[in-house]
Amino acid sequence: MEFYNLQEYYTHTKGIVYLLMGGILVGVTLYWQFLMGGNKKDD
Amino acid sequence: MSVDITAAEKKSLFTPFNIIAGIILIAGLIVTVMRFTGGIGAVTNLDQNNPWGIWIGFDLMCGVALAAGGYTTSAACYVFGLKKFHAGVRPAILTAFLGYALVVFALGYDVGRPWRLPYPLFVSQGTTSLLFEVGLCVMLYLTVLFVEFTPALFEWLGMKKIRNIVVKLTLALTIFGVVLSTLHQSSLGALFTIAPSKLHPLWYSPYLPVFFFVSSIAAGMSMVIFEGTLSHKPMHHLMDAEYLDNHDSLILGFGKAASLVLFGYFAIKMIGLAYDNNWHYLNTGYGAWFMVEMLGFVALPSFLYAIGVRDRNITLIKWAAGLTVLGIIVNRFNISMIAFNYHLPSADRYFPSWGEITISLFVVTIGVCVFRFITTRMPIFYEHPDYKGEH
Repeated sequence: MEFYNLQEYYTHTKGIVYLLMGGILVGVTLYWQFLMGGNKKDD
Repeated sequence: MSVDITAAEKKSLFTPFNIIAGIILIAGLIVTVMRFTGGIGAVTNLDQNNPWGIWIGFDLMCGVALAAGGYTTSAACYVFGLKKFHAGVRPAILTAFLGYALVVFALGYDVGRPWRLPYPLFVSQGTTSLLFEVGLCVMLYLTVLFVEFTPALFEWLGMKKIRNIVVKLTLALTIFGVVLSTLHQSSLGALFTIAPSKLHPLWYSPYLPVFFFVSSIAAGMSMVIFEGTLSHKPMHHLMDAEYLDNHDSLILGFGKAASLVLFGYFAIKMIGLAYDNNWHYLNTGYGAWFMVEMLGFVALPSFLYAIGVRDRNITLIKWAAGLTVLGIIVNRFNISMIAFNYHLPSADRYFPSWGEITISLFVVTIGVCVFRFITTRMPIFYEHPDYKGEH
């Protein structure tokens, strides 16, 4: 992807970072549930 | 227990461990003489392009990261009140103390004239340098770790009064240790932010200090599990019921925490990629190696830890810990050597000489020997009978 000014660059990278953050928030919740599941004996 | 120790001491001196350690120590002493008589060029492949080799990349970078078990374990036990980690504190503190002591010892080889090591702190302070902050933190933290280790020493020596005074300082020392670790673990990463044109963009990031600190937490917890695994068999006769009863619980607890930390580390590394828009580098040779590091040594151990914790599979968690320790070494090697000076022609790239490798092995062997010497004499894996439940 080509950028012609700094604003385009930052709009692109910040946009990707925000999308990633959303994915990570969902991902970490699911991962937490996965990690805390299973055999809970004497935890 | 004393009967077991006596039986162990009666063994022949010529065990495989002693023979291999002896050979490495003799070779290390020879290279030491060569280093301090012939200069750094006599035993290393360092040059103007590559002033830092494995003595920094392995002995210092990996040594500091892998010694993070000291602050993670003591913080878990004394700050977060997770008393199930109590039996693991002393081995972790000892490992961290020896790790840091050997970092300073190895640094003497790299900088030369080790008697001038205190100069940057006491004679000519370079307060604008990150190295000054790293040096100051390492000096203070090494002191803190030594004081944290001394109760075991005083119990062994029978110095009850001074031991009781030091034990009262435990919480303050733990908090001080966490603060110092936060500072210098991240500053080691920040050192590389000075060279954005030398470090490959996939590893360079303005967030390097955060990456180093977060990865050190996973490294520390994994190292506690890994070191416990290594010492479990040869030191089993020295471990008391409290240590053995809590061992699995400690592994499960640290496994769970390490899994989450590695997940978070993977996430912030991806954010680092996105922030600098470096995705296109993934399609190169360095990109493939970066993916090996991220998937093979971060995502995979995180997942293995999670499976191990869910299934209460201690063996799997131990394998995950070994993989994470290896991953931290790979990461520090990548940043300090493999992806550093990546633009240079291959003829100018750095590869460690046999002298550098010998000294690194020498340093690790000294650490293992001193660890063994201390744990077979002092109450590290067991509580001293006179101080049961007192610390």
